[in-house]
Amino acid sequence: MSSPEKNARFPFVLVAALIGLAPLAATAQDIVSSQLRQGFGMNKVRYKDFDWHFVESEHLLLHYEPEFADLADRAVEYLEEGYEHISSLMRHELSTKPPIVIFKSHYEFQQTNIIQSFLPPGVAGFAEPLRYRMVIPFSGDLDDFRNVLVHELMHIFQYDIVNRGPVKRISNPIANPPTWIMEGMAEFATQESNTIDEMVLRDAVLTDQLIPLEIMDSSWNYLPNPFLAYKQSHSLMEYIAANFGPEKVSRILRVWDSQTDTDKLLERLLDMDMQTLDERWQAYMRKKYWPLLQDRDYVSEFATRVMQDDDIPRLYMAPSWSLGGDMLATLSTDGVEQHVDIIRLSNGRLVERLTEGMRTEVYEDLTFNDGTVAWAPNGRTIAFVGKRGAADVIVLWDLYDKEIVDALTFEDLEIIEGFDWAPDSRRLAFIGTGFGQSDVYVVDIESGDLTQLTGTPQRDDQPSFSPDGRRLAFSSKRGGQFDIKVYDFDTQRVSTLLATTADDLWPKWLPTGDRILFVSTRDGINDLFLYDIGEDREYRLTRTVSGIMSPALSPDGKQIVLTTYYHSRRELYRMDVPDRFEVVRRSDELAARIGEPAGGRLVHGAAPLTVNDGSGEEPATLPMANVVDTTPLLALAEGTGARVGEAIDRLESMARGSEPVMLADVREGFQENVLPPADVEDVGAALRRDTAHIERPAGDRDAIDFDELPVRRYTPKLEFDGVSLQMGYYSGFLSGIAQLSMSDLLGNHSVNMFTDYVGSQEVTNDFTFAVGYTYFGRRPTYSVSVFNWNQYYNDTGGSGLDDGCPQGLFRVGNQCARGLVRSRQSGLLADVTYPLDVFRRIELSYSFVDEEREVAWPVTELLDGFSTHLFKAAYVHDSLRNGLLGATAGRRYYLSAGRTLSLTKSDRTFTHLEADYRHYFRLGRWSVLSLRGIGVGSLGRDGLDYNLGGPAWFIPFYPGYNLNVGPLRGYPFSEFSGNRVVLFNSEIRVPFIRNITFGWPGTFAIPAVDGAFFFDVGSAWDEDQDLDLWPPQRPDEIYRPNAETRRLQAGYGFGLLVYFLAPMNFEFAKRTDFKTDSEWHMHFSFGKAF
Amino acid sequence: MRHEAYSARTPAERDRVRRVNEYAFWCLDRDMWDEARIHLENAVQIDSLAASLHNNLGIVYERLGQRDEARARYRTAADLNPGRPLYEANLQRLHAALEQPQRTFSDSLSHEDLLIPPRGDYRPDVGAIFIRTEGEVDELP
Repeated sequence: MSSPEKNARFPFVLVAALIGLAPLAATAQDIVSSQLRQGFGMNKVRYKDFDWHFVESEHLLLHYEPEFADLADRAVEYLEEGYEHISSLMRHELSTKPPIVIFKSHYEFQQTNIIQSFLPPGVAGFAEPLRYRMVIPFSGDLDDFRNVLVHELMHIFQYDIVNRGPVKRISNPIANPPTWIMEGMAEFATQESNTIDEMVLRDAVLTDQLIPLEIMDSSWNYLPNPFLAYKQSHSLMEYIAANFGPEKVSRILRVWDSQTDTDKLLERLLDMDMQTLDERWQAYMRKKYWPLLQDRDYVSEFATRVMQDDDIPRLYMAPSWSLGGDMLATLSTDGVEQHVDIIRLSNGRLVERLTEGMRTEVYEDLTFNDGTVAWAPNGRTIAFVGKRGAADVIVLWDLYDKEIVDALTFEDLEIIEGFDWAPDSRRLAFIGTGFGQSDVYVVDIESGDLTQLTGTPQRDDQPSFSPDGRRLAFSSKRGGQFDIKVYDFDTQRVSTLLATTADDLWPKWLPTGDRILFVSTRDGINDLFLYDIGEDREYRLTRTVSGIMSPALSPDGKQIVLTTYYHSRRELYRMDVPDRFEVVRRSDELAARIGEPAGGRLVHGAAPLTVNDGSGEEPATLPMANVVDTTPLLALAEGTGARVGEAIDRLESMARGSEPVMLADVREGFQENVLPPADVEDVGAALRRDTAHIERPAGDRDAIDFDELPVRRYTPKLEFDGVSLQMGYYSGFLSGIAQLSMSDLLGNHSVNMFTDYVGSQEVTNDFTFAVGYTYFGRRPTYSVSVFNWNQYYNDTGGSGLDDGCPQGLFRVGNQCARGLVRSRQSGLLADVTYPLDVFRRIELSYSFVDEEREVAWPVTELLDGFSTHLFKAAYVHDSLRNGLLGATAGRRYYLSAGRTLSLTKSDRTFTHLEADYRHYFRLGRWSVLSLRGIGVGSLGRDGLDYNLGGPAWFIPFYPGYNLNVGPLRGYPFSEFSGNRVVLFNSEIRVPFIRNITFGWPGTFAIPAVDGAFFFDVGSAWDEDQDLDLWPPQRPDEIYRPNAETRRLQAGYGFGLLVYFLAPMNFEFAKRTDFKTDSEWHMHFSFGKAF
Repeated sequence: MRHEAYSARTPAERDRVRRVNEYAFWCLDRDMWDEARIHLENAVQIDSLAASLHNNLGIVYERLGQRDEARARYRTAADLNPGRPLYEANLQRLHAALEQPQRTFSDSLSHEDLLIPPRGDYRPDVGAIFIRTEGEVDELP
């Protein structure tokens, strides 16, 4: 499918709707010109022909593809469980079975047609109120998948309660409660909060960055930290449930039914206003988190911040050390552009940028995930992940040559992340997600051979090669928690190295091979630990307030770069790896703070495992499920790989006798899946085949027999999306507009119908309609529409009789009146759009329009009639990054050529040529230099007239706006016209205000105010005129359209661009010939800057 | 004998040496001496007959204060390619510096000194890092 983001599904309707409301315009809108109008926007590319089936369970209809039936099986189970949970919570049953569509990856999810807009990587799923459709991709983690399903299902419940059924109207939907309530309830329904979420919330409390509830209530869409807003909303809902009872959560929506003011809603529900609730909740949060400072450290107390403050704060992810330890390769973003950068470790300054632009021939976008950058041990190759088509590609960049040297893609693997290089710099381990699950893979980058190491439906993550390259540690989720496992390349077996009641993550082998650094979520906060394999003992290295993520070990094993979250942003810190003596000393010191015994913790011995949930209560002591004997610890000195392997084997046998998989797990009912040994060459295929038959761990019960549910192939059926009815009265004309939209459930077939009955005292019985059909089911998009369209405008000719009325008027009874001209256009429009990729597309169209113009009142008289057969081809490139007020980076251009076909004498004949190029250069973080050059020519006997003058975007109800090439500021809107136009625009936009909130009247936000300085120069002229380039037209010179020579017109000035509900532009310009200037002229317009 | 072995080196081998030297220069240009050192050390392990690698490694060692290692590298470079005065000059300069105990090596060699004159050139009073290996270098007639 290739629907440009900004292109309406049926653009003609939009054009027609606007001009239909302008019955007394000076001229009729030419529908042919709407087909020549350029459309930018990125493409939604339909890479795949989906094979949809659906299964009907007790409460829902799940749509999926048979190739990931396992995932569908789980989705049904999660959803039915979620339904029971939410139904119980909300005391409500859905009025209809919601249709739910799941995709096996985010890249396939991006191809959905249920929503037409482009879905960026951060969108985890959506639910819509019109038809209760939920669309969810598999993210690679079943728990996350379940959470998103439940979250979105809660939204369906919310819609059902608030709207009392699916909304079947396009306009004027019933207002939903504020987003913080909607999202807070949805998060509350998932009952999940991980340590990263908690990290963000804790940081906001401790650094006084919490978003006031009043701001969340009024300005959700413009919040600078929406992730925090979600977490606050979740926490608020938990607070309400805990302090006022969970039934209050369910009552919110019902109270909203009668009271749609949040303050009054809360007063009625909780007997307190919004401000009081916010104060009490914040007090609760401070009491919860401030005590942590008593026995916990800021990361800055033991580590050094890598980045220096600079003008443009950047976010860094996935750091990876250079061979010499002087540099880091890392993903970076300033919120506008994303890059892979090499930065100097000593000062955080940029040394080299690997990515020239945000896209290349090799990839069209960067993948911004943890572990997607890795510097090879040879110090020369840097691997990172880009997106190409509907899958990730591993990009190999050579440090010596400073260029991309190779790119690797894999069939069936869509998401690639979690890199780690083998010591030989030839094998690269990563996490691949395909066919609905995530597993560990290793690729030989020279041969391209891919080996799948694991094959379970649960999430595997963060692989780390041992120093000898014979083992691979990784974190692996079982029973809802991450353990650290080790894959042995010799035996092809997976064994568990660490399994506790917390998540154990990011294992990193120290160079000696006998110790592993890892992050664990003990006490609910991510901290750094060290596991000594020989001693079978773990030591705590940090006890932080903020938590630690993604530790990256230097090649010599002496330093760590870690990520923490502080002051609402991720920060990189560097710390030394303590030596053996220091490890024990530090661990003892941290243990002493909370009264724990010294000496680290014996991992697989008989020592009880203490668990503290962070609530401040006494730690609970859990019995070990698999009690092993207290055999003296393995005494390994500087371990070689073989000796470490021996140690692991011995630990395994200590725990399980001859079963070499599970060492110890304290979780009740936990069972381990044992991967059978497999032939190395065939392990991937074998594992893939096995995935469909992997038994569920105990405790992960399969309550619903998926195989027993009725499965049917999806067949498209058109259903109503909604109906819109509008009545209007304009200057004596009564207009009744009806719009009806239909589509199939997956959005592949779309039908739009539009009618407009126009009547007045003078004119009746005009029936206007347009019907369009668009097919989005394949990569090319096909669209066809037929129409019969009537417009009215003032007649300027008059009767031409000597009837006592001035020229241009008719006599009607005793009065002189202006006549009305009816323009009737009927015909057919057909388009094919083929996206080459996300940024580029080819458009082909054919338009046939038959037009008749007649004086409709007070006499009936045919004026003229003509037809147009227009063929047009266009090439569109758009790689812009858009801000609220205009483009912030990138470029776009549009090349088109069109030609009419003249079959009869009354057919119009002209050739259309257009080239429009725009480039946006960043000046600092938010400032932008915009340059644009455009040339348009409509050549031939019936060439169209293009307009020039005024601001860039349309003034409502002004006819001919889509033929205004603008902007040419300083001049009246569309003052100039001609069938040839050249125009050059330059503009510098600088930020004045970001996110300002006003408290009166009411609370509202203005998210952005920019200042602009601009210069425009251009001209419009006709075929029989000459264009004189110099000097430009004098500012005081009166424009004469019929002069033999046209001159350039130039203007400059400044503007204030304000985003308040929509972009608004207040521009002040002077005309100039570079010698003299005119007075100031002011323009107001809506829309983003060009 | 060494010259014969050297002249038998393939263009690919010479190209590899050139790239390592260029990268070492790139690192030194950014004051990242450890990064340059480890790449040169790894390259020398692979290709121990490339005189320019030894010379440049000597310069890095000298800058890092490892004068014995620096002297050994200069010596090796001069032995491998006695026809190139640059290597012998670096050796002699180091010897001269060693005779002035009041000056530390980090004083005697600043980063700027090393990079002036431009790469590939030689000036007797300062150490010069050698980059280009194409053409006249290393492969003696």
